[in-house]
Amino acid sequence: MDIIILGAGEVGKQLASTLNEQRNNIVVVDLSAELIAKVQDRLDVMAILGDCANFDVLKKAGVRNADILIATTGNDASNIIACRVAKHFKVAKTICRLSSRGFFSEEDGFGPEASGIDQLIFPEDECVAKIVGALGHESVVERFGFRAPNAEMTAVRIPPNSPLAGMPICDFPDPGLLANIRFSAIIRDGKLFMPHGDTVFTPHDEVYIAGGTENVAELIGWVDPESAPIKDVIVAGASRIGVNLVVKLMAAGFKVRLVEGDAKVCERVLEQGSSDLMIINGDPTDGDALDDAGVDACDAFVSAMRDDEDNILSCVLAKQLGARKVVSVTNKAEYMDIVPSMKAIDCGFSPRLVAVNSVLNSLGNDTVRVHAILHRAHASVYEFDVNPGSKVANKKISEFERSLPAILSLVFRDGKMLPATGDLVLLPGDHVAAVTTPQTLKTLEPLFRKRGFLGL
Amino acid sequence: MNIKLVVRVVAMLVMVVGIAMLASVPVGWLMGDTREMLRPLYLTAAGIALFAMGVRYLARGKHGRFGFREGFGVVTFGWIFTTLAGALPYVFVSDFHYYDAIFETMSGFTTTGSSVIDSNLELMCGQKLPNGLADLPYSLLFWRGMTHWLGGMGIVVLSLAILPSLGISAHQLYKAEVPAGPVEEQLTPRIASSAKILWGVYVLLTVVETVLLYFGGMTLFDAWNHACSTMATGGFSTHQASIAYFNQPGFHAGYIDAVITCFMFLAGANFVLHFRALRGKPLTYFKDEEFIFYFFVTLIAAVTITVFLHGRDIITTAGVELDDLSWLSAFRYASFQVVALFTTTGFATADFNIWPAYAALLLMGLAFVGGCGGSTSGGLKNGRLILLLKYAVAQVERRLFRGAMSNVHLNQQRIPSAALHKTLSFFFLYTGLLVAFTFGLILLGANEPGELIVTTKEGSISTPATGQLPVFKSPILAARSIASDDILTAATASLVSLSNTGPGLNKVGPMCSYSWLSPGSKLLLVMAMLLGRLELYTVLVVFLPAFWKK
Repeated sequence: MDIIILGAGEVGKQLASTLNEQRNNIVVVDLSAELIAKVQDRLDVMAILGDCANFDVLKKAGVRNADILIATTGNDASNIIACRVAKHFKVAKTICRLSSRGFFSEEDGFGPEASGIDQLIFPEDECVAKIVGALGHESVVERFGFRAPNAEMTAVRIPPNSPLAGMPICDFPDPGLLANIRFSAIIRDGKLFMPHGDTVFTPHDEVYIAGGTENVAELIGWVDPESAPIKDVIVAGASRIGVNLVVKLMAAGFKVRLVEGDAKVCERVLEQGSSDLMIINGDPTDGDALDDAGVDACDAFVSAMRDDEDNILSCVLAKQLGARKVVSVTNKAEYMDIVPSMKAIDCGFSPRLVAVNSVLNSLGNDTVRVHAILHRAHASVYEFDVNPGSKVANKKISEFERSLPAILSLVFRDGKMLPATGDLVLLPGDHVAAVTTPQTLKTLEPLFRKRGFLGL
Repeated sequence: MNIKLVVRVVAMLVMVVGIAMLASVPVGWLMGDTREMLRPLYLTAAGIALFAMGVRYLARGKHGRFGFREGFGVVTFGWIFTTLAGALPYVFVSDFHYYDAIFETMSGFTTTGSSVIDSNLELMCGQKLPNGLADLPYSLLFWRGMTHWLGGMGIVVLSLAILPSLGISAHQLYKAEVPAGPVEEQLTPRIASSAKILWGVYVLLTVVETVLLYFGGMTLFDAWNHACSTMATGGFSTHQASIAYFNQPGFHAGYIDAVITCFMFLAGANFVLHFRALRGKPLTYFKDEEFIFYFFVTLIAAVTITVFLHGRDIITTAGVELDDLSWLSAFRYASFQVVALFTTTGFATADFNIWPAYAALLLMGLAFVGGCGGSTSGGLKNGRLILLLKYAVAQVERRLFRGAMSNVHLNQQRIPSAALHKTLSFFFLYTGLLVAFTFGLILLGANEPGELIVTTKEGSISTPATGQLPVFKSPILAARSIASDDILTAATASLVSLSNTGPGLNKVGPMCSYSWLSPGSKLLLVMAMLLGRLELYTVLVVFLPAFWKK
């Protein structure tokens, strides 16, 4: 496919490299000569220097013949204009990244279609939602939902005092619960592997559990029965993500305090915010300011400043001062690799990666789509469609399970979630979710694809 | 550098060469080579392919990161090892010394076109080839032409086009092999598809030229070989007399000269332009600054040399004397030689060694510059010359307008300072290496005692330059050493090797071959050819200690 990616920042670069591996023809456009040179040196793509909202630049990038345009620059207006131009040239799919929801209004009949946008993504909002998901419990590292409303996958870190630590999976005391959930993957010392019945849980393992919301919650109760629920949250930095997060958390009933260094920004947030919001004016990278905000007594600390280094620093500081759970927002790809390996930070999220995730999710073919990128382990949750006539259609999972390099986590049939246990028969039209690495994807995908001539 | 990864890819390139070598077996069989001649060739070719497959298998394993180092490593060592593999047929089929075989193969792959094959070449068994090229089996002649053709557009680019598994690292490899000139122009988003397009244009032009030459009276074998040689801007002919061989009854000699001149000119132009022209935009040629420059320099050089040649007697490379050239024949020989040298092809129809000094010097100057970026030719490239000229003018202007920013444009595009500096240092390295190779050749090869011509009042006496002078009765007025001729030989030999042209002046002129050089000088020139073909930087980085660090 011919794909144009606007913006060669973290999002554009990441998208280009992923889509490039899938043998697409990619053109990257950016205003910065440095970023363009970097992309050109490292990827097998065409890179064009120019303004993404400029007609001639887009024409030079081949918008006439492109199949997909992905507008991921940091400038909302540019993104919208580029999509409009692309639609003028009949580009089949346009994806637009926005940070503000204020451009369109469905009730007034002015939707994104009017600007030629097929799909909007709001990475900052999605990132906020992910952080809120991770604040549900102290041991939860990451959490995301599926197309069925009650299905979810949650990554839990096994605490040292957990009753499950040192126990093999098959000895789990509640076999009824075990039948309803799937242990999909375990990350131990930064390496991903597929658990089986004999696998023994070790402290600090990150276990990916898939299943119904109540079942997963019940299991988390088994993993970490002692920790108190999270109520008291400190958010550092009144960035767009920070403020959004505060609003969402307050709506969910958390007790929130916001720490921001710039007094003027504090004033502005207060003018817009509700009356029960508490803002503390102080530098979040300063231990005294964090002390004043009561970080020693809080349940969770989220750092959402603009600067990655400040975020990491204030997180380490907060952990030292006694915060129970510490979450950092990072933007640079390099930090996304480093943060999970830092003992002082419990989990990290990146709006950039979320954006990449959302775009890839909407770009799958008729067999496979990325559902979520597990950046902690260079793996992803993929959704496979069981095509009629494929190798796995109308077969019991137990018949082919042993030959698979990955574990099938969940099966979705008619909008309902079924745990992918051995007795289940896969029917054409089912969707299957599985944790997959790029290597195992190569063996998995053909199984779900419709077999062609001579079984190829 | 990730050596395992480099070994894997290099083995793949050698495999491609082995398979291409196998193709010359059926050709030789069709042309009537005996079984005894073919057996060593197909055993060698199959051996190379199998050996490369084996190495590839042994070096299998996890892919590491493919960065700049690996790109440079693959291309440089790929060229060295494919040359070593490509040299084997000369050794096993026709009993060449290893240095002669390597010289001939490197000259083939780098499209230099210098040859060691003539009636004086000594084989390993001590015998000689009395008829030169005519004594080689057809299969080997075909392989000789094939080395040109593969090397012209590039073995790595060919592999990028036909092998899918090189895809990840494509850009690094492409950049390290293609003589892009100062500005890189990307045809399509993916390098693999660009490589396919370039090879497609290349194959098409070669086939068209083969057909045209066939109509000129050549056999299909000769037509194909000369088309390969022309499109690669190589210079190997299947006949000892080069193109002048066809200057005899039974061939349309003028037509053949014209066809080859035109196709050499095309091969020296940017292939991206050919692609655009084939897509129905023939005017793009004259929107390209480099092409316009290339076109007019060719024209001016051809016309001025025509003026000098008009009315003179010349000798063709077949050894035939042509008396009192008419304007038309003068233009025919002048334009052929200008295009042959400017595009760094190195074909010859006439011995320009004995042409007026202006013509000989101009031809060497043209070979120094070479064709356009993105072509199969070698040399400095027209694009770089234009940039250097513009930059020099801008620097002169700067004496008047202090603090003026560098604003050099090529094809309506501003050239960033970094690219200008790269061009400047390229020019420096190119001329510097030229001097270094000249010195090297003199040190390695000038051990023949020359001649001294000493002039006294009684007249001139010629005496061998052994270091001892005879006693002269009268005062010496002047002395001239023929050794200075060796300087010209060494300088032009370095120049035409570094610019991948072929024939130089004096003892390496168009009527001579390189067989008389010492083995050391031959290997030195092999190095020069490789450096020139890969545009210096790709090979030079291998000499940096930092290149080898993990």
